[in-house]
Amino acid sequence: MAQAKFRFSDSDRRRMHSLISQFFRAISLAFHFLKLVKFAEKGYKTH
Amino acid sequence: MAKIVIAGSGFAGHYAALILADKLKGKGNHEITVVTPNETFNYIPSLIWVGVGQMPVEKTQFKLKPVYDKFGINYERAFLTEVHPDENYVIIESYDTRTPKRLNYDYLLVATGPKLNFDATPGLGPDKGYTYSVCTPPHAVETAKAYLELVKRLEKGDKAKIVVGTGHGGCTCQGAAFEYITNVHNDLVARGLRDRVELLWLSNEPKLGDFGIDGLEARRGSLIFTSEMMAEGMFYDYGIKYEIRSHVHKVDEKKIYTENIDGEFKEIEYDFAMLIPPFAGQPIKWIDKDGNDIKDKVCNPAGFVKVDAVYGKPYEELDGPDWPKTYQNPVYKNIFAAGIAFAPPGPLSKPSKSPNGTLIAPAPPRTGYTAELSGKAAALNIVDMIEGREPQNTASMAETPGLCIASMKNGIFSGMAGTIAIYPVARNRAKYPEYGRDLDLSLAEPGKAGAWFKLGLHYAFLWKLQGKPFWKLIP
Repeated sequence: MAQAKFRFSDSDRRRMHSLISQFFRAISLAFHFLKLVKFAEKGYKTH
Repeated sequence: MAKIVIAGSGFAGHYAALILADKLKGKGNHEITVVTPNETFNYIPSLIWVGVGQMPVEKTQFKLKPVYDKFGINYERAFLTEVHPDENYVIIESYDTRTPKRLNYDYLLVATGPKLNFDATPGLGPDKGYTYSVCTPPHAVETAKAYLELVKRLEKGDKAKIVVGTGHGGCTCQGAAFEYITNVHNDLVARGLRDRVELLWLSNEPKLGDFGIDGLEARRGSLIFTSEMMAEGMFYDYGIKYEIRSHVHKVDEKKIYTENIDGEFKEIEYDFAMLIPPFAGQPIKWIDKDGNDIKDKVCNPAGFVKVDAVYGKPYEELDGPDWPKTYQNPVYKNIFAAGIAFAPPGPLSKPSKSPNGTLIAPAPPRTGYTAELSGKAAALNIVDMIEGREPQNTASMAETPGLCIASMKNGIFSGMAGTIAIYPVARNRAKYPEYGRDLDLSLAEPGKAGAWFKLGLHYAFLWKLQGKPFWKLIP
């Protein structure tokens, strides 16, 4: 039975639990997702 | 006038039906029929919350008939049992009476999803075995019931061992099991019972965080962060132990019998287990005009429908251009397959064999979004053919992104989820020689933002797939 080797740092944990930090991250991720969705739809030619 | 039959009402089939109805509206008297044994659309990604008793199953469903009535789509609540591709008809059996009926088609889209192959591992599954599943709404409800009974025992002071993961060396959808084990952890923490439970992750993945997609790497400044690191970090924080690279030979009411990639046989005791089953193609007969069984010609050995992929290459030689683009069957050009029903050209994760010859090879998963992309490509290609063009719409898994939110805890303020994005899903070394993917577009990060996305996607998908106002604007 194995146990995990990688550890998040305390600052990683603070960032992932911080409402303010995550709010701004969510906005950034939303734009990132929209960019990826555009790539996904590149293959559709019939509109 | 064209007759289009769509078998299946999941992400691929249902979305394809809406796209076809929308694109063909006012362009002639075309007939679209969806054949499905389901009365409701089931939003599978949220079943992990149903499985821990945190969401009523009704919140993950909506009735199909009103949506199809609104879009002018015929709805047959039935099983697809036979396809006669030479004569362009299918045989369906009604859900209630099992009465057979013939349906003619000009175009057929097979999007039936998988058969949950619990029989591959003796003792696996809630029907004939001892383990639970969150793959269907009834399974998730049953799992929640069993889990909450276990919680009651824990509240009385009992201790328990919970095992979550995959129930066979050939399983896929490790992500769903990952979501379940982390949700169970957080649910037990919230109930003050976590110290009474040992949580074990048991999976066929070659490495932690592989998720059947060969893991992922994402650039973070000058560093490369991997999904393995994300999973390891979360499992360390959550105190979850793990056994990976494992095949499950059988399950009895007390133990899970496994073999790992080193050929070691182990017996794992458990009190509650949720193990994802391997998938197989639906049991559909394929019959030619002379009455011969031609399933081998149309499907791969697992029963999934062959499309425009390059089949037969070994894992090491398989690359992006080998993945299907149009989802058209190479033999019968008026047949398409999408979602989990299409036969992939091979695995995404590295397959392995134990010294005893046991195959441990995760199959490639397809998220709801990936299934929708393939369903939309197939639908638009059918429109092309109806209008006299060659299929020109593509949604190859080697050219499209994978977007997945792995929930670890539901909630606006206390939620947590891993946001996972990869581009493309299938490594494409012809385009990205070093890693096969664009590391600047890929990401794997846990946080509250993911939990908000997961909840947002739940409502956005259900809104879109009911064809409510502005549904076409939702990707």
